[in-house]
Amino acid sequence: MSKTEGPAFLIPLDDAQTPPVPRDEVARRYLGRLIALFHREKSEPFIADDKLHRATLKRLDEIVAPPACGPVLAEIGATVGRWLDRQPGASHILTVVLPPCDENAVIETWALEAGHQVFAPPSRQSLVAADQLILPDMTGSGILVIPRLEDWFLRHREGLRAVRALLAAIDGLDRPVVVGCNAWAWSFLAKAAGADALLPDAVTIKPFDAVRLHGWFVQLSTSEATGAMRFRLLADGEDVLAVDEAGTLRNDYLRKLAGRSLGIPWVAWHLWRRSLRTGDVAEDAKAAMSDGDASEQTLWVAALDEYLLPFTDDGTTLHALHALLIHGPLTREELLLVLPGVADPNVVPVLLRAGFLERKGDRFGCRAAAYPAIRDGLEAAGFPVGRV
Amino acid sequence: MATAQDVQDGGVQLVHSLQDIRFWEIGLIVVGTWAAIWLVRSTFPYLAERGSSRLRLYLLAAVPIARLVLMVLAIVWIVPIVFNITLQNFLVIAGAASVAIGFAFKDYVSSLIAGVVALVERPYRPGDWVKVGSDYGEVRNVGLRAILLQTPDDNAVTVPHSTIWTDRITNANDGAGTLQCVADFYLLPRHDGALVCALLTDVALTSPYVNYGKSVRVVLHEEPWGTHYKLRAYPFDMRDQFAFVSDLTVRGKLAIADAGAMEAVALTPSPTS
Repeated sequence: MSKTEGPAFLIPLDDAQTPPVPRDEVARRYLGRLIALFHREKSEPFIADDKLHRATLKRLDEIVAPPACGPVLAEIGATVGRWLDRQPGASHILTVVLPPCDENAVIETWALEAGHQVFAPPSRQSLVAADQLILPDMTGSGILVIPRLEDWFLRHREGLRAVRALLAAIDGLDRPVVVGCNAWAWSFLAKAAGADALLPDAVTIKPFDAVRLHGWFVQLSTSEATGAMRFRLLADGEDVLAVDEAGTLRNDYLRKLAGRSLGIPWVAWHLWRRSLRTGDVAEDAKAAMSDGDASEQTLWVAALDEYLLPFTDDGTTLHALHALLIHGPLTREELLLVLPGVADPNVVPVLLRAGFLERKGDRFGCRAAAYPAIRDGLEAAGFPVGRV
Repeated sequence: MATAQDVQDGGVQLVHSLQDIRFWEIGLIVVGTWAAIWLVRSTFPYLAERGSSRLRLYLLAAVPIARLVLMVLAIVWIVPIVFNITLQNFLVIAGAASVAIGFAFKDYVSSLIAGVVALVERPYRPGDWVKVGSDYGEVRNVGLRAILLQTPDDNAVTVPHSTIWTDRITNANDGAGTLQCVADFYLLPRHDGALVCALLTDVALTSPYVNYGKSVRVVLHEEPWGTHYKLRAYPFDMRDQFAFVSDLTVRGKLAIADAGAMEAVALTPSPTS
């Protein structure tokens, strides 16, 4: 089935579309939201981690390895290769806009693997310092990679100098430059710094629909370390990754997952991982399955949960989530610096407890699994959102 | 020429006899209509406050229309139960109603008619931010006779629809999802105008409330006492307009101080814009 995948190149940002969701899933989702309008509780937890008690994280890491996002790395490499063969007169800058919550830093990973020069950002504290920022020398040969443009600014009246200076500097370079940027930061920078004019023709990853997810998950789950694995639906024992003779998926699970994850591979991986169970669950489903090899290990796949932002009258929560999607992970002090007025200092622990944020050292970022719910919530509240 | 007997017969036929009027049916219609209107008036605003910004405007706007439709349906249903509808009887009823309205309920009916006109011409809709006289606020409810404005100070102001015959209605968003906000700054003349313009623009661009799809503008003009700057930008949610202006003002003052400019202080009557 994975053989039917399209060309392994990034696609224009304007062409990016969310994979379609099966109709019954759409109906179920809207019904859930309607019901939630009436009785959503403010303190309702977002993700109940106890659902993972049957599948230890260590075991899951063995079976469903953290995403190296190999397909994305290959796409970046292929696209850069094609771009380097560009016609004379074409732009010397390739802009790659990626969805947020990219904890694998795929552009930086690709650049380091390929041996390209990576241009490190200044510290966030220095971005708002009164002293004039002096950019390091960027001249040289070979590809220069700026993996995360969002690390070059703070949404603060003093925080745009560095990114503006950087954009002007790379515009004047005569070496190829690959610029990576998170889609939400890209929307902001297009408005605040005219980034879309200086860095035209941005590209992004081709959305991971059910076909692409199938190919990727099969690849992830057939490593030598884990042996043969079979993923069965908890409800009816059906093999999630099974295809018929024509190569078509036998059930809707991956289509639902693709739609729910908005076609973002790392979000799909986190949602997939959260739905896996091990152990003596679903005896009925076990009894119902008739196919399969006795030597295979079986993981049970629970239905995807519908997550919603808790109802809140306090705009600080949404502003905090929006700021974290634009900037990526921030420290508590940096976050308070970009929030409006007198922001509630308790917003971070509240969001951590609710499961929307995760801690990375002294910084806090949105959880990838929470991204679809956060995006829906911010979009419904009218916030400017990223293209992907 | 109609004889006295004809007129008497017509009068008898105008209203059905009490035995023929199905009061239980009228009661059911009235109660049912009242319940339906109550349900709409309770449910829609409730959902509007918990749903998305776009859904909110649609739901609020649907309330007066739904109420009007329900009331018209109820009246159309009830009238044939009570009255014997003929052209002659219609003229009699209309004449009697005209006299009553002309003497007793002129202003009330004027507001009712203005309410219907307002539903068609839409000088305001639920969710709009309007200024009527000296009152500015969000249209929370469009009733049959009046609208209810919720002011920023959380006062509820009832404004009769008949105001549209005589007063100006200033609608800040006119059905759109956003509106322009203006933060004013008054500076003494000795400063770098270009620098202040650039800083104020960045103040708006970096505001968490700003709408990316709308422009940010700084305009200024000279006054005898100094320079009046207006920072114009749009929030993505109209309900944030006061927080947005406050945010622009607070951070704008800091930016102005950093630029070395001095704010003007009014020793005489306040400068006018």
